[in-house]
Amino acid sequence: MKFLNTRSFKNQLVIILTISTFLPAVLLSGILLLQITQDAKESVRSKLELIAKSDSAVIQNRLEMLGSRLQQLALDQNIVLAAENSVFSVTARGQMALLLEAHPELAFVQLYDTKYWPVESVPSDFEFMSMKPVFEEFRSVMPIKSAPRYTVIDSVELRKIVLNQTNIDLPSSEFLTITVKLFKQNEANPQQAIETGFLIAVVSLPNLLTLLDEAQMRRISIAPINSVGLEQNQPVIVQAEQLNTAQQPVYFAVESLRDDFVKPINRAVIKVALIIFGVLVVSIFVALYVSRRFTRPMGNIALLVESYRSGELNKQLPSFYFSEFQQLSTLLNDMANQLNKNQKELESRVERRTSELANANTELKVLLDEQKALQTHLVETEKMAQLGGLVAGIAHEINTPVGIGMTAASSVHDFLSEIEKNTESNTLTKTKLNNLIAKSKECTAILVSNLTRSAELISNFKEVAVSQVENQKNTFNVKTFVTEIISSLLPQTRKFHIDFQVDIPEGLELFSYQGVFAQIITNLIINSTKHGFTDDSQNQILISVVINQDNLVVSYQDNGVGMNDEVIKKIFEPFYTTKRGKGGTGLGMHIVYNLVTQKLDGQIRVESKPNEGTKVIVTIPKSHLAN
Amino acid sequence: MLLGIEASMKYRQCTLLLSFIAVITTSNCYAKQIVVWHQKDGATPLLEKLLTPIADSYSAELSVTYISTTDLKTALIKSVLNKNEPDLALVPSDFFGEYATLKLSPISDAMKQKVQFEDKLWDFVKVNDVAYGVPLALGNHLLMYYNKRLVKEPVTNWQQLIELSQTEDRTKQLIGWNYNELYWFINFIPMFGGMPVEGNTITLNQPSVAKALDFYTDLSRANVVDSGCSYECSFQRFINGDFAYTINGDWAYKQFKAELGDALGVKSLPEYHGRKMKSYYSAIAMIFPGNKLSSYDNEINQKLADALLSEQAQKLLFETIGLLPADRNLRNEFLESVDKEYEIIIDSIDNGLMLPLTPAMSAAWAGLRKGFDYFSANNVKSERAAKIMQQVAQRQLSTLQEHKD
Repeated sequence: MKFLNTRSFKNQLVIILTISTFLPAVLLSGILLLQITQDAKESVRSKLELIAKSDSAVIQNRLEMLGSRLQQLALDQNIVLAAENSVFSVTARGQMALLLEAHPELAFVQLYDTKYWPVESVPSDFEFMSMKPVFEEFRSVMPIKSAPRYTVIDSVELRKIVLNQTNIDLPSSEFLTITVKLFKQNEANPQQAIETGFLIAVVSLPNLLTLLDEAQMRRISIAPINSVGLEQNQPVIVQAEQLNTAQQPVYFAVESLRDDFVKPINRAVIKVALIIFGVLVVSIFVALYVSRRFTRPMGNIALLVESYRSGELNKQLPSFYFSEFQQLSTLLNDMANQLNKNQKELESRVERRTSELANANTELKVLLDEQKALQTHLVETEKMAQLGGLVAGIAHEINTPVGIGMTAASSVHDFLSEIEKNTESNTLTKTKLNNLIAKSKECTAILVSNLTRSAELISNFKEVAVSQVENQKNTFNVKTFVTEIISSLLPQTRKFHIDFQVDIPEGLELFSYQGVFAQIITNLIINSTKHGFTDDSQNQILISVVINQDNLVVSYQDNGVGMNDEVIKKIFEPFYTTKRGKGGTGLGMHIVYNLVTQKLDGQIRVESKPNEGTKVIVTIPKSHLAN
Repeated sequence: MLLGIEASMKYRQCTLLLSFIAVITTSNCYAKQIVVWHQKDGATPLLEKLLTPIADSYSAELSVTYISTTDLKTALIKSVLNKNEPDLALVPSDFFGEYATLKLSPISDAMKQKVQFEDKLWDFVKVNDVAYGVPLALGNHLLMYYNKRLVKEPVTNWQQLIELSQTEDRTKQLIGWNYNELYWFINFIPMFGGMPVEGNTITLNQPSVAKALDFYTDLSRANVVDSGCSYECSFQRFINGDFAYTINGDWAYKQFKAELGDALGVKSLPEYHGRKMKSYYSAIAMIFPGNKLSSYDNEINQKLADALLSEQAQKLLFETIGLLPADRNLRNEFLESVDKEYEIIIDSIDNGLMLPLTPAMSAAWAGLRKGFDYFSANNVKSERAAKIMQQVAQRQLSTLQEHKD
């Protein structure tokens, strides 16, 4: 026997023992690992903090040095005077070029006069480029004296201006400007200085980083730089410093690769993982040993139970080291003995009951055969009764016209015999002859009328057999066709003043037996006139067609006198009529039933109550729909 | 010991007192100093010789300093600003465009009468009909020098020079000059029918200037001239025989002559398709910056001028440093005893163009400098460079006008 859905106690025990040994080791290692990680992070962070402080000092010194150099230039008379006299341009330009050469972090340097005319620009690519569009911004931050002023510039605007005026596409970095005003001595009043213009140096902030080692891991920005933790998948910013330029703070940060943090941690993790793995292996072996020791008696008990299950109830009891297992095996043994006894009793009881059941079964079989024979008999009887009814119906219907015909024929025969007799005896007068001829004609008319009636009856009988109906399908529009049928029946329906209502979708077309539909609708309408309508006022017939999910439902409804349940039950039976002797044959609805069920594979049902009209619902498969 | 210290202190105090007295005495001895600046290389000893008697007569110390033409204007402007301007400066007359900045006083009629000049000489130093200096010499114009050892028949037009430069066996340039100095470039503008200025109107934004720029650049591109060769370079390479021709000023004649002797040939500047290339010339004038003429020592300045205008002084200046007297009579008199090449030098003045002295010309230099540099450094069309020249010059002219006002 297999226990697919149950867990192995032994395996569970191994797992529990392993986990209970392994888990503390993991927890302990985790705590240790956390501590190591923290220490490693702190170590790298401290190192980067030192680098950040050192590097930011380098950048700051550089910016200050640049400011000082500009300040020195602003004191140079060649520069001061170049702003208002081009004679000094060459010298001024040379000085500016030296500044640019000494400070590769500069994008360009320009000398403007007080009207913002770009007197000199280095490199020469920036010659005649005017930064006037951004000077409105500068005016508010211009230094009062010749001290340098650090200002952030709108990098986008600057790049646009430079591109427009020089076709130089500056790198998309941030820029800082350092501005110093230029003053010359007022000859009229030596205590007063006259402003001649200003010098502006445009510093590309990223270029400043090239002064540092590992520049790619340094960041500088005019916007504050936030620290980025290890959680995000990007370089880690561990330390950001704000540079103390006089007016404009510039932020500097040191980035570190995630590896700088992660590598020491990874090393520690690997060590710890190896230790844990060792602990795991040992604990598994221990667990296996312990579980084996504890589960072996259970195995023996299982073997004992297995012996009992296989019927070996007298198996000798094994001895166990643990008393609990010994007690359990004894109890099992007692249970096996009791089971043995009960089993024997049960077997004798089952044998007895089986014999009783066999007898009962035989009796039932006999009864069932009898029932089947009775059923067959009943069916045959019903069939014969129906056939009898049918024959009686046919006989009754045919008998009357045939009898009348026979009477009329024999009367004609008599009249002819009398004529013959009178002719032979020369006693036939003209009056007599005319009288006999008139009578013969009358009889002949009766004969013809009754033979016609018989022929009609025969025709109806034939129609009952559906196989006689046309087998040719064609496509036709239902609404048009129904309307035509109604029109063709007007001679029979006119006197009833029927209000026909046709509710059929305009484009509905069928590919079916058009004649069958004509017969069905015609029979239903004729039935309404014969049986439903008693007078000629307020008569209504509603013919509608609805297509549902599976079928086509043709609904025919009149507001005639309706029927009771008894009539409804028999309405489809052949020769059942409520107007026998008054022209009803009892075949109309039977023909309709046969046409619907056999020719159209459909179903038909009638809903009616006395004085509440009649509704005939014909359901045929959608396969009759065209297309 | 204590006595020793006191004695030492007294000794030191005496020493300090004596030193102070010595300084005061020395200062009194050289209370006046006559400062003269000039731009003629090698002229300092001669000027000292000529002016020392004047200085001595006023018990003044004479200081004569040479400053190159390039630096002289800036030095003068700065000195005026710092109120340490020289008493006398010998400058090219085109400096007069900066007369307001240099604070040049108009030469009074009284002073004019004392100078034995023909009246028209004053035209060389007049701006808006006002003379701001005293003319000393004429010249400063460019000539074509050639080495007779290398050239049998000197070229007369640029087409020949270009053609010779294209010959297959030529491995070095035929001619050299201070290519990037605009004083050379402006001589090409009239050759194309233009002028840098018309009166006090700047006329740099002209097709003639653009054409001159294109032609000038083409000469370099066609390897006719080495555009990287400076004044010293072209001077040295000519006397070394590396260049068969050079274009240099009249001031260089004496030095070339000293180096090449009879091998030196002089020609006027070459023509271009029949159009003459006229040299711009100017006067060397004496100026008295910082309104010196209106100051108390007007008399000293006048005497300094007289000393340099004396016939003897003019002769010495001509013979020593090649300064051609402004006075035509003196010029003709001196030329009788000198080389025939001087006739060509003088003819070049007579057929040359007087460099305008207007502020517009001063401003035009600024525009020319900027536009030329921009044209050389950037790939722009010459028409654009000419436009830039005009813009920059125009701006400089307005600045000069403001300072004048």
